[in-house]
Amino acid sequence: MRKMSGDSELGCTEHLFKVLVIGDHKVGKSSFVKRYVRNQFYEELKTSIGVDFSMKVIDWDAHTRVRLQLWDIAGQERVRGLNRVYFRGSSGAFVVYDLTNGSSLDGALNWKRELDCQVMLKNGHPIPAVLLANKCDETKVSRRNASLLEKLCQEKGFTGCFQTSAKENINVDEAAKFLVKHILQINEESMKEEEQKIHLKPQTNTNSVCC
Amino acid sequence: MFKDLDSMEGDPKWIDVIERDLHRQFPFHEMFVSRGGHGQQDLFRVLKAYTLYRPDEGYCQAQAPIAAVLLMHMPAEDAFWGLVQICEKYLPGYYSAGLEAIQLDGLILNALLKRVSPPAYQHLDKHKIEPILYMTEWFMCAFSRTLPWSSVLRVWDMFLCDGVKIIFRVGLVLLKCMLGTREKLKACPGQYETMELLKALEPRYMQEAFLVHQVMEMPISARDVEREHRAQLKRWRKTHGELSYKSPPRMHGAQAIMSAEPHSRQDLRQKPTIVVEYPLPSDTTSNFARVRRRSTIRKASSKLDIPNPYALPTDTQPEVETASNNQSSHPPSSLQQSHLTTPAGKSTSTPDPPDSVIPTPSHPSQPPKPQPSPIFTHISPPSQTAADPRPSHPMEVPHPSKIEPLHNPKDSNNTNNSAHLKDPPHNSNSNPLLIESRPLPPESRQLPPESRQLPPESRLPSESRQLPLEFKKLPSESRQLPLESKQLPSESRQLPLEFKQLPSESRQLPLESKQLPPESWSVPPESKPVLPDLGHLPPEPGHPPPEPGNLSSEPRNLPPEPRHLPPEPRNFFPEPRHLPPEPRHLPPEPKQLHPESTQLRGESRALTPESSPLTPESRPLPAEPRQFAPEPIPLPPEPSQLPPELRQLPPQSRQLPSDSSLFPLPPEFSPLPPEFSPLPPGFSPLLPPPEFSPLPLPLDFSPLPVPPEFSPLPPDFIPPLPESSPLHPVSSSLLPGDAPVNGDSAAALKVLCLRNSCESVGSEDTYL
Repeated sequence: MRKMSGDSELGCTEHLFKVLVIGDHKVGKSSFVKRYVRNQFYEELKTSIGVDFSMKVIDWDAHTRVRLQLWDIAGQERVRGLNRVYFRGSSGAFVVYDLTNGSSLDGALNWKRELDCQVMLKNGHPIPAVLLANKCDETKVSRRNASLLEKLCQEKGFTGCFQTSAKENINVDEAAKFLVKHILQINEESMKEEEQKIHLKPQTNTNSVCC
Repeated sequence: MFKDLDSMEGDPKWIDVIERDLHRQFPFHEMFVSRGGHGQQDLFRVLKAYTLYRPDEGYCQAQAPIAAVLLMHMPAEDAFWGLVQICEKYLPGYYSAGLEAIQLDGLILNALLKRVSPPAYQHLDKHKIEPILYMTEWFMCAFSRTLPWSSVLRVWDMFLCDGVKIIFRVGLVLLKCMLGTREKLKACPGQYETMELLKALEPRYMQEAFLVHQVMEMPISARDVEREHRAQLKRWRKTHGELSYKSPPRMHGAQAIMSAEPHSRQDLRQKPTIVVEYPLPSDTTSNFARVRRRSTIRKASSKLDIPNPYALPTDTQPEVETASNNQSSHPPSSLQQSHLTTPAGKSTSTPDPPDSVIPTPSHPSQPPKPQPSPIFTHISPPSQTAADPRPSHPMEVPHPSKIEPLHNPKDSNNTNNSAHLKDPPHNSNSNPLLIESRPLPPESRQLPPESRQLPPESRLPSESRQLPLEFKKLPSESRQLPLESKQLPSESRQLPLEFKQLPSESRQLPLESKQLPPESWSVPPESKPVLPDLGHLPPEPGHPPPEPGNLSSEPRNLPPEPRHLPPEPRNFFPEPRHLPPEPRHLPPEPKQLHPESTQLRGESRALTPESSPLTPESRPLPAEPRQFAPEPIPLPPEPSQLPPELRQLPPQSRQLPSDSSLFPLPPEFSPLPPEFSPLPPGFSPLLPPPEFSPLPLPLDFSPLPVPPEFSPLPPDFIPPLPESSPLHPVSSSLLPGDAPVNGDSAAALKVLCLRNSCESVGSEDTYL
């Protein structure tokens, strides 16, 4: 898990989190990232090959600034040989699937499984992952399906689930906020744990240590 | 076979994935912009055919850009076989499940980086930035989505000719440039910053000329790659176990492939899409002159696109030659004679030729820029007059020899740039055709129109002193027949090609202009200095001649020149829109340039013949003129590029400003001959010599014509200079660069071919 936090002036804390954006090919990962980071949308984006990076800086509250590194990872199955490297050190993940493409949900579950195998928190728990049902502007999800989705999320260990549309800018910020909130929570907990274990450091001073 | 595959139904699993990718390849390229358009259809056919051809491999997303680039240059069937070759021979295993080959190459790249740029290596190592974090797209797409389009074409030319080592070299150059110095590393203190930096490569490092030059100089051979491959494979086996995918051995370059697998496959048999027609008599040229003129002008403007990279801080060698070459090339034969008559010309001119010759080698990266064919360059030096034969001669001789090495088959194999230098063949006259055709870069337009248009006899100088320098050096028989005249037939043959190609070129030109803007963005505003080329313009004829003392070194003469500058500087740029971008290509910070001011100059000259250091913009480099002293001073504007008004200026004045100033030109010479303005008929460079003719050649895998071009001339390879020539030492020092230049020019030919074939290149997307 990568968290870099430090005190800047006036006790403001800065965090750096690495967040993965994973999911099948062509479900809208890059579009999601572009929408979130730059608030732009392109119908035709180039295929991602390897990994793309973006950074989003969030002034979370008066005392906290979060720098979110978004790793937009190529979705094609065969590129997954490289995932081990890409996943390393991430603090959270968006797992994206395409509402209009049923098979991509299976893909998303596979991605989640792989994620959990590759990365975990220091306490052995899976890192927070949010399931994004993207392209919700194209299909309406019935209430029943929505509840099924919620259920599925819980079963599969997702932190939460959002229906999003990068195109229409639906739920993009909300989903991100939700994930960041969880990451911060976990971060705080782990800091407390560390403090309890090692009573060397005063409260806010967290070292930036990357696993 | 392709037809069979094409008609078969694809595996739905792959069809689905491929279809989703179709509109995501070069989405701004004209060919692929429309959904379901012919470009996307062909892309689908090619990719689908590959999944059927290699069902075990299927489709990898990174294959799509590869196939798309191929499709821009050839029909679907050829593109399919090109893809097959790349996937099986050039980059085996890259697109196979697991991507082990790419990971392995990442390790190889890292190991090579350790050798090439220890600071960059240490930095990446320190921040645990594994190669696959930044090189996956580079390698899997062969940089087609990373570099600006003109660089993509060059890199692909070299890659298809010399194999994967080129990809490694490009990667190493980029890493070295981006992370090679402490200052740069300070700017990216962390992992993320570094990776972001590598995702946003500085455009100046990706400029065609700079990049190609660096790539040629990168001392990584195919053998190095293989050695490292074995070492990393061994390590891989220890840590990861056996490779799950056994890929066939990698073939390093077209020649290796051709020798391992000679034309056994019908599918690989060459089907040239351009057929060269043979010679038209010289008289026909007049008809074409108009067409050519147009084309040359455009071409000239298009050249401008290519920035001169030399100013980059990393680049050590200043380059001067292009300017000098331009000069030399300009003078029409008649003009030359007039110069000959003028006594002063010799002294000043003599230094020029050597400079021009020498510097060229140092800057291999320039191929696209005007590199006059050796012949023409020889012609230009005005000094040829009998009075001062010796200095000028030395210059001339070397050219043929330089050229020769290219023909040498060995060169093609050359994995290491330095390798072939040792024994340049010395048959200067043996193969005039070859010489002319190959060395001639697109800029050959600069050749004096007269020489080509005039029947050989007309050109022959009645008096030996009138003969261009080259002739003097030639054996007695040869002297009687000027090289050009001999070559004329060849040129005339090539002419038809030009005309055929013209339409395509003309199409391209607009595209290029389109491409300019993106480049220009990258360029910092300060770079402007280049624009004013006026300084190079020849002084007005009426001008008082400089002191005789100045004659010895041209540079000194330069300072005065600015005054002489013609009033119509603006007129020089026939096509204003092309010009503006160029200056921007100059290194962003004049300060950086300063130490290498010489380089700057070289750049400016290379960019536009007219660019003179003296012009106001050039001021940022005040010291230049003197530093450049050895360089041939004035850059004569290329006839084609000159606006009509300028053309009317006395030819000599442009060509040898210093000379002209010293010796007022005779009135007769003042108006340029009409032919002068039209592109030189010999403009062959664009026209691929017979060997180069088919655009797809490299891609086709048909016998690759080129290897020699890519192999840089051996550093030692120095044109024999007479001991008497003062320039000799200089030239020798510059020599190393020489080889690459020639290679580049040859490469340029190919590139041009490629460009001709593809109408519009999606330059934009490379920038997005």
